[in-house]
Amino acid sequence: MKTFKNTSRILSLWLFLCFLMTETVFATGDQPDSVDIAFLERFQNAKDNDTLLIDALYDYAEYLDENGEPTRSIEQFEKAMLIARNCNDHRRLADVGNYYASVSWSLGDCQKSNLLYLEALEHAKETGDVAIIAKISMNLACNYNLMGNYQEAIDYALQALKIKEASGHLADICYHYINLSNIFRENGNIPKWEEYLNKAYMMKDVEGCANYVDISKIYNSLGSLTHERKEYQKALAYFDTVMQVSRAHNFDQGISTGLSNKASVYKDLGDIDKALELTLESEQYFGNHTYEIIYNNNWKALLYKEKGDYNEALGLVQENFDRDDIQGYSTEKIKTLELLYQLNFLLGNYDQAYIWNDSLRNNESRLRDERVREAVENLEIEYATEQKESRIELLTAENQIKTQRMRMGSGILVILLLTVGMVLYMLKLRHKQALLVQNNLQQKLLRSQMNPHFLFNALSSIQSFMYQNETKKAAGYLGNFASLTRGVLEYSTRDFISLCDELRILENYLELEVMRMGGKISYQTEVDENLDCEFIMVPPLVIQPFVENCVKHAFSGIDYPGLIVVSIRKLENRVEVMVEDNGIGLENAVGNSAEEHKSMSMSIFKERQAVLEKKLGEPVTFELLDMNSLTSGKSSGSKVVITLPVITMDTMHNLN
Amino acid sequence: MIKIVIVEDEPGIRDTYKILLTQNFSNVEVVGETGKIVDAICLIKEKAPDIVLMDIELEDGNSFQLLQNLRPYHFRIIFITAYNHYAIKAIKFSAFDYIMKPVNEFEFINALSNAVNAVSCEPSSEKQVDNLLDHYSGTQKSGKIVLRTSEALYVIKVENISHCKSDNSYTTFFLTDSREILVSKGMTEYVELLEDYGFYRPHQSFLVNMNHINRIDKSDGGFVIMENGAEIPISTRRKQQFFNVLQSL
Repeated sequence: MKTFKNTSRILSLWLFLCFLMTETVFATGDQPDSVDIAFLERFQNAKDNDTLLIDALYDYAEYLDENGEPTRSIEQFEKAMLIARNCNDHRRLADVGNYYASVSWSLGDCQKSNLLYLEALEHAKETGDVAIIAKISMNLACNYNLMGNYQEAIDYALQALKIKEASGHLADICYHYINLSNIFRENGNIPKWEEYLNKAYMMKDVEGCANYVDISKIYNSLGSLTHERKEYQKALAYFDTVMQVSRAHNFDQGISTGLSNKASVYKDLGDIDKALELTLESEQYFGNHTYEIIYNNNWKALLYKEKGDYNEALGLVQENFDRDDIQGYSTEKIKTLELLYQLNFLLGNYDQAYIWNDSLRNNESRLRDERVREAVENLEIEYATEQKESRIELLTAENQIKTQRMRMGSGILVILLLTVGMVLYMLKLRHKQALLVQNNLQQKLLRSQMNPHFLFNALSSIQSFMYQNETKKAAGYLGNFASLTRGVLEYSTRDFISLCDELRILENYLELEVMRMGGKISYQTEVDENLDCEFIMVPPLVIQPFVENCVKHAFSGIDYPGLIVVSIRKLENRVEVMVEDNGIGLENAVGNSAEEHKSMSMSIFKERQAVLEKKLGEPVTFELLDMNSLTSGKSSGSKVVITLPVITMDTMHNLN
Repeated sequence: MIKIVIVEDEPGIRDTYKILLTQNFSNVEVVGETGKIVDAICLIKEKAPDIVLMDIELEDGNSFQLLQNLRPYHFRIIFITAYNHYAIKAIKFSAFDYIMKPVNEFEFINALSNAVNAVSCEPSSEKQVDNLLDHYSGTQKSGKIVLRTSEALYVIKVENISHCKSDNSYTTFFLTDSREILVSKGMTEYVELLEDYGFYRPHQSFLVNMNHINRIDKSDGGFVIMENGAEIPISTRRKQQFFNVLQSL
């Protein structure tokens, strides 16, 4: 299980690094002296402000840690913690404690590190900042993991993950996935290791979810997994990727880890010399951390053992075992014990070997305990179940929202349909009303044209021709009368008729009047040659009322032949109709005759005028002119000018 | 010879009348004809006709206007019209003779012979003309109706009529002062006129003035008891409607 131990080291190394990465590195390019002076100045300035002072101490401690002086760094942290505790500044207690703990760990003081993490976690909970709570929990989990306390480790790690996932806070999520995956790997649970590794791998390219340290760790873990499966070339490639990423960021621990992991692959490939060479190369990138040294001693001892250089190997592991701080790294301690036992055995020191073997079994039994593994697994299952439950809850809630939305949607739809229905109904009603108005108008028009007076007078005229035995005249009159009646009946129900039809009716009517009045009057129609009278549409019987008025009133009492001229011409896009007569003129006619009918035909025209203008969107005009005023003042008749918009067959269809 | 003047604006129709007159009457003579009101006054004054055939709508106005200028009347008027609802109502209220255009030969002869026979005894009276113009103008309803019998011309206030009774082509008017006037016209002539004055027809043969009803006797199918004691039967078919009208009063 070499890879586990191997990576556990990397894990802890990177654990520390993460904190370094998250904080700004102070004046890295400056000379130590000048930096110290700068910090002194800063402390001076911050003397009266606890918060500023804590921040300054923190930055200084960080700077010292960066520059390989962890012991001095710890002193600064201790000062910062004291001040922070005094003013009970939760935020800073959490931050400082977290960093302080990691540096303590790197110096091998795991007891203190754990206590500091626990304290920091309490304060972090006070701040309610999800990111820092999760981070401290995960760091604590990593500590427990290295100490061989897998149950605690997994508990804290899962808590960290739960907090992260519940808050939907995805920043740095890979840090948590990869650390949890490493705990499972240390614990020997390969499927879970792979599962969380994959999670981390999938998230690594999402913005803000992973920094280069996390990415190196992910590739390193992938390398270890393929190494575990004996796919050595693949593993070497992954580790090369680790080194590439690390080199790109001058990340020493990443480089050294990549090198030593490659070394372990070569060892399994049987190339011990290559392994040793890479190991020595990796030592160049070491920081000043206990764990690196312990791990490296064990690893080199193993290589020397393989080479048969037992004494060299024994010296290295003996050195490890003499260190106090090995207690914090249970896997390394077992490795050391194992090597001590094996090397003594190989060197023929059997009684020594027996003692080492005994203490090895003691330590191992604790770690390899199946029950621990089970408990750890159960914890994970619990977490997974909880996650599933919360997902189900989420789905239920979503479903509820969906049903609510559906209900609301259908409600809105019903309202919408009702509104649309109402609008349609109202439109229909309006249309009906408009139709009613139109029908009413049509009936009025019909009645005004086919008024009984006109009808019976016409019949009387026919009768008179008959009594006088003027058969031809009677027949002619009857024919004209029939045509006029037919025209009026047919056209008065239409919206538009052609100008030709209108003229035909007009001529029919005039013909009857001329005959009835015994040739006292005559008429002329003049149509502009440019006018396409078959294709120009006009409202039916629009000219006729004016002509009828003229016939009725213009010629009463005249002793000369009356003349009516109807002329039609085109004016741009309008049609102008003129009805002229040489009668007595408007002034004489007004008030002299039956106003009743006259006003009736006029009022119908005005009603139609309003409806037409609305329909056509253009004005329909008429003007009554007295010819008297225009000439010498002598009566010379009157004139009516009607103008209408030009309506063609096409535009007419659009109107309907 | 009985002198006749024709006032009609269409020459052709004047010819028709002349033809009909000569064909049916041997003792009449058309002494003048015109189509204009202006000329008509002079013509009538000059010729002093016994009968005037008068179209109502003339080219230069309404012939009722010219009547004012012809007093006193020594002629009988027969109106001729194609169609004029108001005019006809007024004519009926005033008991004038009238003919509708185009003329029905039978009606024409009937009206003319009535006039010819009556020429000697009674010309159109001023009362008749006043009533005519009163009704036609419509501005102030005098509320009078002219009833003409073979021997006299009555001008009666409509409100003084209690009820009418129909008897084939005769109608009896029962007045509030107990007079009875028998007119040789069917009741249908008067129904339309009098309904405007609050008359109702509870039975085919009776027309009652609602203002002179005393009470309703519901026994025996129902009777209207008038103020003068007359009992008027109610037709079963009109019963419900009659009660509705009574209630709405």
